[in-house]
Amino acid sequence: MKELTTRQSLMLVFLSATASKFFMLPSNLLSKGGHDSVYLMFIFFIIEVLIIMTVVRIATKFPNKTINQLMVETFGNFYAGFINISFFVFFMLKSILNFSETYSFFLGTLYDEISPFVYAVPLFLVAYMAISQGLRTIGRTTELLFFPIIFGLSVSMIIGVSSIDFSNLLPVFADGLSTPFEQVQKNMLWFGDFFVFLFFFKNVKFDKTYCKKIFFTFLSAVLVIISFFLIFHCLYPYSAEFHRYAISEMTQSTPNLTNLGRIDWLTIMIWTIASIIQTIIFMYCALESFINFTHIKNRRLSAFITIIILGASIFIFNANVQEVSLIFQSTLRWIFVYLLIGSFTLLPLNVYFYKKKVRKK
Amino acid sequence: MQSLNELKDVILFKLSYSNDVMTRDFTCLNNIKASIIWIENIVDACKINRSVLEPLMETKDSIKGDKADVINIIKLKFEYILDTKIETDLDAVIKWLLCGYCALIIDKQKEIILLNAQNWKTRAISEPPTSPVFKGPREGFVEDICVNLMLIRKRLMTPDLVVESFNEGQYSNSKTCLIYIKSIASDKIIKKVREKLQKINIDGIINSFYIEQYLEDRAYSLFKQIGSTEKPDVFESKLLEGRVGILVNGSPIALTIPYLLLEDIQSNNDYYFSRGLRVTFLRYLRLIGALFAIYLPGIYVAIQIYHYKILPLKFLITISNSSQGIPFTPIVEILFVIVLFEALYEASLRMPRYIGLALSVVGALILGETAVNAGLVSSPTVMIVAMTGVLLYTVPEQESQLSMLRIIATLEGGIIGIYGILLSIVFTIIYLTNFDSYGTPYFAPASPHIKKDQKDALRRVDIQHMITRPKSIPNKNPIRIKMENEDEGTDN
Repeated sequence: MKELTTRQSLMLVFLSATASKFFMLPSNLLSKGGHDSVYLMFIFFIIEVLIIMTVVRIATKFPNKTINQLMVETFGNFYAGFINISFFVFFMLKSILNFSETYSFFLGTLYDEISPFVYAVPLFLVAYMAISQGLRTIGRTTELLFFPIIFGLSVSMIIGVSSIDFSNLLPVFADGLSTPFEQVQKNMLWFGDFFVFLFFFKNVKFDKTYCKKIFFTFLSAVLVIISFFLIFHCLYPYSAEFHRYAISEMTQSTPNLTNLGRIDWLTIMIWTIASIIQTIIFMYCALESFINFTHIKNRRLSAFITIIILGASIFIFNANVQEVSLIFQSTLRWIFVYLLIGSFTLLPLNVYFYKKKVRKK
Repeated sequence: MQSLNELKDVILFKLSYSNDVMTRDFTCLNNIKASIIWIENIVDACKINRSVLEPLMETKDSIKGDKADVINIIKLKFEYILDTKIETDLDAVIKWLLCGYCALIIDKQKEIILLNAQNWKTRAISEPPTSPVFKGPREGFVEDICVNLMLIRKRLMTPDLVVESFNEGQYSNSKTCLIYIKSIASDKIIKKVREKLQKINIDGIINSFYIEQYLEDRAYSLFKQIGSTEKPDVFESKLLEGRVGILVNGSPIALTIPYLLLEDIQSNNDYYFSRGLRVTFLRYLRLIGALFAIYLPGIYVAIQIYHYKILPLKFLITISNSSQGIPFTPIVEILFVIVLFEALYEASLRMPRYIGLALSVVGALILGETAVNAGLVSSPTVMIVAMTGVLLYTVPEQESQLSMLRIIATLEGGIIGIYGILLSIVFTIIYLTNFDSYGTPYFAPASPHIKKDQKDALRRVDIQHMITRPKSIPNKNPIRIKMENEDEGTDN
């Protein structure tokens, strides 16, 4: 029996692709790159769509093999181990970013003060429970929470859209492409979330329509992200950098709501569940990679070690999202570039070699 | 071969010479000595006189041939009594005596005749107080398993209805029945339940709740894993959905397996008087009510302590005015009121009914009012707790769990704020998604999503559209409504 249903896998892909993009990325990207960077971001998304479609094609061809099994059978243990370590690092970095971002969001909006330790321990407890149970539990949890989460996001966007000026989206590429391109490239760490799909290999039933379904899921996620960014830009065309937590700022300029307090935060809170789920799924992928290269059979122990490593890393970075994003925007961004581009060429190659190997036998 | 007196003595010894064990010696069939043993109060003494002693003592027949035939000759006398048995095993004789049979011992015969003279006193069938209906069957199960079986047989007149009996409890020897419709229920579930029932080794089964704990996969969990009902109509509908049921003698509560969380959001009233749209509305209302019952006090405390900016200014002023001068922190204040209400609830359950009514009035009105006036608690807090107290009963079957979750959520809200509540929601869901009740996911058909079962999940379509049995519950026969034209059998 497969761990995930088609519906659950699509929901997970949607949430993974969108969850972290509505906190600090809009402010980071739009303040320096302007709205042109959003159009350019669309190109990056097209690349992501192409990668994910390739990955799905591969997954359909090998329905009973995990990505690790495929890599081991094709390239041997050493190279597979190396890839797994890369994946582990990638998902750890994503988890750190996610953690820091949501922590910073809570600190900047809802709390006057909350210790990172108090914030981290319950989250790690929840994550430990989820990742040690496996993908089935994560999938079912996502399925139950998906529609309330979408409701939360939709309400925030609808409230935001009621008071914007769409003329702020023009002109297009008036100042050239170099600055927006640089900004998108600097913020690479916020992309590549679709990587989680690699860990769905063998765990989902890939039927003939799956390719189409995942294409439309990813496309709808991209449209939601682009729409969100554009609405945000229209709301704050010249002051994006001062509105760091985009999702909580969307509704702030709606006069009717300000009289009612910030009850819109309740819907935003629902959206933050998406971020919690995203952290869990990243940690799950990190755990799988960890198990693949360490070969520790005890899942609970591996989950515990993964969480300890994550906890230690977070406290090294002092849970400061500015520091984390600065580090990731500098040299470390090449890890993301390598993984994104590497995977694009690596996976088809992988399949090619594997098929060749099978044919020889 | 043991003489009459020796045999009688062994039986009396095994029954500990209890004072309610009665014996009567007499002669029959031309001076053959006999004795009858029964336990007072559980047998019908008139029936013994009329159906056992009279026919034997008045008969003038005598044994002419082989004396070994005496048992068969006597047995012929009781042919009109439906339930007679012949036993040689004394332990079995004791067991039947304890079940309301009388034992007829004949001198120099090792076989003992057992005659059913049961006379259990039972409560009349009435509407169960836990699940009243507006327009629907008002029968409820009683403590006597025979009456309960009769109620089920009366509703399900099919040869496919199977009743398997077990005797549970070393001392109570309680009759426990596993009931299912063999052409519908899954063999795998039946086998698993049967095995679990056979493994029970306890001194006594006081109520079906004892059995419930043995059948649960996670005995220490806060969440219930076995369905229960006091109504034969609900029991019948669950059997028709492919579940298996368990009845225990001495308990009016029947158990059903597998259990889905959604079951308790549905009510039997949903099927008796309302149309689909209204029922759908009511089910969502119950779900939202239950969620509010759990999280509202936690959210209120979290807002008071950490997130007061969320509230509109006027509301914030109202709350801060009413909270002024309260000696406790918001979390202590609300926990105090919750515990007070829980104590009132517990006391009103245990008090004699006439005092209980007065107590609830005194508790709810006077204590609440006085506490507010004395400045110990604020009125919004009392209102929030009272409101959640009412909302708990939108899903009465889950009341005890919701009540515990409410306390946990309040603590989380008070300690970490809304973030804590969000995490507790995710935690609870993760915990419960991992539950499987006899192979059925706890959240089915919501997660994993089963499209066909959505017809009677939170949404409810009209009965004629429920063509198939719920896929969430494993069953052998998925078709529920046979369509005259098979083409019409598609899902709507």
